[in-house]
Amino acid sequence: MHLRKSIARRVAAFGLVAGLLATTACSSTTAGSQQPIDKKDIVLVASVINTTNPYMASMIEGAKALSKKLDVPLEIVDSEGSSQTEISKIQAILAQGKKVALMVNTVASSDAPPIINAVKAAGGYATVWWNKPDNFEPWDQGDNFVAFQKHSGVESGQCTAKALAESIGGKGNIVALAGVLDSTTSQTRVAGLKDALKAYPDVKLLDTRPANWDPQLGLKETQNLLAKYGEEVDGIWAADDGMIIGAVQAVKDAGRIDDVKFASDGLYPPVVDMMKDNMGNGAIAGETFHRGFMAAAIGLYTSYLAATGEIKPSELPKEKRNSLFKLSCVTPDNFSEYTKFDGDIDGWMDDLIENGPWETDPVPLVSGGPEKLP
Amino acid sequence: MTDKDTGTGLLEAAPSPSQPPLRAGRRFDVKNLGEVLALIGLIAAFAALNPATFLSPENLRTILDHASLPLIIGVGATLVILTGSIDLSVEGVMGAAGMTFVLLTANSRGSADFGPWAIVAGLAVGVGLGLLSGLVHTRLKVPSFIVTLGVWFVGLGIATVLFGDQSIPFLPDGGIKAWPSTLTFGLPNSFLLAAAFVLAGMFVARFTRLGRFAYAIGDSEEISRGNGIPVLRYKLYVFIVAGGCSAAAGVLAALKLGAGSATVGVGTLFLTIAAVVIGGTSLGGGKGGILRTAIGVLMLTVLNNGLILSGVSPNIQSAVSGTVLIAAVLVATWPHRSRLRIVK
Amino acid sequence: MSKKALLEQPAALPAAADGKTKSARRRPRNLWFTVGPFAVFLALFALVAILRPAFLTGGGMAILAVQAATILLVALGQAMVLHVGSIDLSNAAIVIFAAIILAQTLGPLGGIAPIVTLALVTVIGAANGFLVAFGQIPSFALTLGTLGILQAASLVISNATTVYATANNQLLAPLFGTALAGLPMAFWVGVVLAVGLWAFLRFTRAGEGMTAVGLNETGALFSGLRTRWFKVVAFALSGLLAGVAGILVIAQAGAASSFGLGSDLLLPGIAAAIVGGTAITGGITNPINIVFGALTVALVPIGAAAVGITPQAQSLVYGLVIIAAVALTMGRGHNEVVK
Repeated sequence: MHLRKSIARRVAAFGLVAGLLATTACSSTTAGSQQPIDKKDIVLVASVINTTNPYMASMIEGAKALSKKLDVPLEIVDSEGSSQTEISKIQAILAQGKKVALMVNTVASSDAPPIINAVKAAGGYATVWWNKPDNFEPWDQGDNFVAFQKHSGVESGQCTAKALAESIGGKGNIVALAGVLDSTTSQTRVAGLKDALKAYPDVKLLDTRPANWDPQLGLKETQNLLAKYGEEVDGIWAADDGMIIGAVQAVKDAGRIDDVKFASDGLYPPVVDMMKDNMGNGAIAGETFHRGFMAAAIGLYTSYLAATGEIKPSELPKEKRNSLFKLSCVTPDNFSEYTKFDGDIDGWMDDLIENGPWETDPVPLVSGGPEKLP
Repeated sequence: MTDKDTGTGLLEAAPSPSQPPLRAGRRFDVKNLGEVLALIGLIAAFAALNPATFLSPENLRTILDHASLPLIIGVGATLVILTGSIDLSVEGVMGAAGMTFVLLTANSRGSADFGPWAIVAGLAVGVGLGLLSGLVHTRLKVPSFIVTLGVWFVGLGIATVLFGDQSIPFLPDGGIKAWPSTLTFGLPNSFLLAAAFVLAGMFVARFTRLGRFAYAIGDSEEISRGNGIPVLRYKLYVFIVAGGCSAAAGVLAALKLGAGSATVGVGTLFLTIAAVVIGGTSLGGGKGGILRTAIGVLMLTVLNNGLILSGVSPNIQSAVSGTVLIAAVLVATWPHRSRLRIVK
Repeated sequence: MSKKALLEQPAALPAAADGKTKSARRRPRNLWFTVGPFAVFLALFALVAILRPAFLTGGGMAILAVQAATILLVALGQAMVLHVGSIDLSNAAIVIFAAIILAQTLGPLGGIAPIVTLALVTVIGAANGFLVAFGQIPSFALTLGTLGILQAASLVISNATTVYATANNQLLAPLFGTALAGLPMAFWVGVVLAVGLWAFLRFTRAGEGMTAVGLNETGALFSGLRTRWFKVVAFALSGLLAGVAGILVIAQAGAASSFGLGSDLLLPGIAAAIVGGTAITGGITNPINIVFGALTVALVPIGAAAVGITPQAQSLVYGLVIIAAVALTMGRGHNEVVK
């Protein structure tokens, strides 16, 4: 009696799992279609750090748009914030036997070598965005590591720091929210901030706290900073807009939205709205413009061109294999020039395919990396 | 007092005669006083280190506001831990409930606007997840550690699926978003809500059957069953209450953030469990209380706030919390040391 | 509810473990208990292979083994601690701590760096054990605190940035470079350790002592066993195995960072140990089954991605599968108290 009951229980549990996997698999949307692609058996793969951060969501959007334009199937890898998950999911897709054109936004710099090695072994092509180890260069690894691409972090920090300092009249106190401390993206942007502040001796950087690119943490840390420094805070700088969104909320709660200025990186849509509404009398002093969908599409297209043989990585100049793309410095005066891109992603994809990954406005190639810290 | 061992109740070592008999919710215990003294000590220390900023009204309000989420979760978590189980699903339930709430009220995505029913829906999600945890635990006899671990991921998954691949759903300015930080009687509403939860929880623990049975089940499940307590049913209720508390905290967190975020609960699990332990509730069940957990939450919140104000590097913050936790437990358990005592 | 019935209950556990003296009715359940985790893994793997055959032919098993290797080691360490009835929440933090230490010492110390690292983390594990056994601090609270301390220590010695192993990497290359039967050496290292631990628990007196402590600590205590030292040994083993996992992290990634590879092994490790049939109350552990538990836990995210489940739903699937897998593989007594 007990035996039957426990067997029944186990069968039920197992049936649950099997049924679940089967139904969700049947309802999947990203598995490859059966149309004839081109003779090449290529699949685009976009690997992002998570799916809830707006930048990552934009990357996914860009990947999907490009895949539609090129008529090549796409697989999205959600790393769920974990290096191990990222590496093994990419490996699982590589194992399926198709030729992979990969764009990966690595969770940590040290993920790049295992991923590139796996891609090499499977005969695929990969482009890494934002983070890789300093001494791990594409030209040393062969054609399969097509390119490493990013926007300058130092320039980002310098641009936004300057805008913030100017907006408080060159005199006052600011606090800074860094991203994940370990990330070179965050480190280079903070370095840019500190470098630019050297030109403003009367602007004091009171404190830097990490908020891990998270709006919730941005909110909490800003509350703590406001509690600590009170009315001394004239400006808040953040390494990305995700954290600034939380910071703005905290300042609003404290009733000081008209007194504090903000500057950060990314010009995310919510911040665009804040600038449009002239929130807090021009509280958003400075931003930088770049988009996840542009980065993802550029990276994917670079890998795709290598995979189809249209470009040969070994024949590319070094600056096209370790690349810094243009970062636009945005102020309340000129931000409307950049918002037009958000409404017409497909149109931009057309531009990309026509002009190639290195010559598409507003993010053409600027120079070769690696980025030098000031 | 001895802790649990895996054998039968008969082989437990006898309670040492110097301890008063166990009574649920005993208020003026020496130990309880000890925790309050520790809290006062911490406050005094930080006030001395940062006289201008620590005791300022803004800072005190910030402390109370930061304490509100763990206080609410602590109510549910304490009840679960009193029965001897544990609830790890807190962060997932917060995410799922918060996301449900934001998507069903006026938001920037324009998905729907059900007004106050959005809050009810959010709470329902939490209650549903608590029900899932409780049912799997009591019917399929899976240890609560694993069930709630799984439900954590399930909750996170629900939040992520609801978020989908569109833009972040923002709450409009000037609506209910402003409620948590508005001051009533000089205290932030978020804290008053949390205080209400704590008082309700203490009432439930002391005066209702749910609370008393929770203590009994935690103390000895076999004896409780033998005495006719429907153990499985009350365990289920406890998980449902915990799910509801986590959901309420999730909705509050979403209001405070002003947006829907699947990770709105990040970090609260460590804080809450540490607070429960520091407060003196035994993880084996049967001893402790909600007021104790509340004091533990306040201690940790004051500690974190004080460390930031004192300019301590963020790198070593977790070390300080960890050391305080170990010290608190050491102080609490040192008087009960005995060669024959079983500690798991 | 007679006294006799109460006294008879513990008998349910040892009978299930050694499998000799029981009625025919228990035998099928016992068989399931021994092969359960393997069957669950096989079934899930088959399901993925059927839904996506390319997974099998493209070396899916090898990819799985790479991911499962570190999870297996953490799960084995956790299982040792669970075996004596405690829990170790800090062993995942020990993995990163060991990886950082190794990355920093591999250059200057070369071949003895791994040994130094292992010695250091074994001492840390033993310290945990001492505080639990002799300080009589409950393990959940203690290791929660130690977790915080180790995380901070990792941040401080790495200066909150990624630490790269700059030299002598070739010493560790064979771990993921060479393969045996298609699976990397690192995985086989884990399997060998699992077999070794199984033998330790079964055939040595220390192992049997630990089992006694896990099943009935009061009884073991009154029988004169040195229960406290067994606990220290269990925690030291947990530290040691976490150290080995840290070495694997450096072998795979060449670097250690607080949020990179190997930084999120706590929950998968515990899940793998329990899916592998370890009883959370202690006394019942089969390290060989934990190998399949680790493979199962590693399979869920990879399989979900391979099969084509949308990225947003993968966390959901992970949670449900873990619950289902544990529900299937648990050995349960009839009247046992489940906490």
